[in-house]
Amino acid sequence: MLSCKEASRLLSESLDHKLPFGKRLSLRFHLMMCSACRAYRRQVKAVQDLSALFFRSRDSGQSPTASLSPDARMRLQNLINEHSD
Amino acid sequence: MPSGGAAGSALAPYLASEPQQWVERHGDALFSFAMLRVRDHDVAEELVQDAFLAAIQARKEFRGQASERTWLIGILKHKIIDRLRRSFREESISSADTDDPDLDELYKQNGHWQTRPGNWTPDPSQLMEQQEFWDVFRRCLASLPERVAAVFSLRVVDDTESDEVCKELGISSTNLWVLLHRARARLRRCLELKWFGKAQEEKD
Repeated sequence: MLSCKEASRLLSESLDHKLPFGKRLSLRFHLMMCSACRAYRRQVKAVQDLSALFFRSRDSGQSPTASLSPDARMRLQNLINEHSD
Repeated sequence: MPSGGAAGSALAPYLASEPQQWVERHGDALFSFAMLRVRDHDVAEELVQDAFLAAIQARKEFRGQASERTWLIGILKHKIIDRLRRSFREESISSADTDDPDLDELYKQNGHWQTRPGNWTPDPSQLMEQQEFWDVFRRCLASLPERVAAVFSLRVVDDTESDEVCKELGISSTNLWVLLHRARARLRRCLELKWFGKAQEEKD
């Protein structure tokens, strides 16, 4: 019988690969019996989705992002100028 | 004299601009991309620098298969991965990476939850508008240990398959899964404490 602590770890692992049959069965059985871990599973999935959303909106420039300092810009530009034609 | 260099655009006809224009066109975008993943200004700048230099060398091979920005970001991603791989090579995964007393204390001695996870079901479309939420999220992300955060963003954000992450970084699957579990569990815990838990209290 899995503990909730073990189930939490397996739940995370199941997001990264297909669990071996025995572990998959144990996890499924535990989730059937444990509403706390079912709630945890919902939360972990939400965290995945929110993380992807967070990064993608920033990567695509829709939200405030970091900017190079004027010094950093200058350093980069000088370096490129040195290495270009 | 730059190695392999000659007249620029004649040999790189598919690129929209010359390297000298890249800092202005792409500097901030690349810097932001790196900052989200490494969180340190100096490290991010160094990575952008490495990416630009590598791109200058590689630009003759570019065949217009993607936009110039996408191509540069791709090179930057590789530089980020290279750095992470070096880190794991120089300092192998240890209990400092895998142990987590904050997570352990969420469970009782027998492995059951101390406190039942809450019932938050965030609606992403509603949360999108709430800047306060994303400020909390950013702080939760920033509180992750550096290597845990880096591996998490590679796997979850850049959507790299598990075994490919292991291969790229030179770490075992088991270690990868433990690191990812730490990332997810810590983020969940942080969000429950700092946002959703409070929302629940306010409802009661």
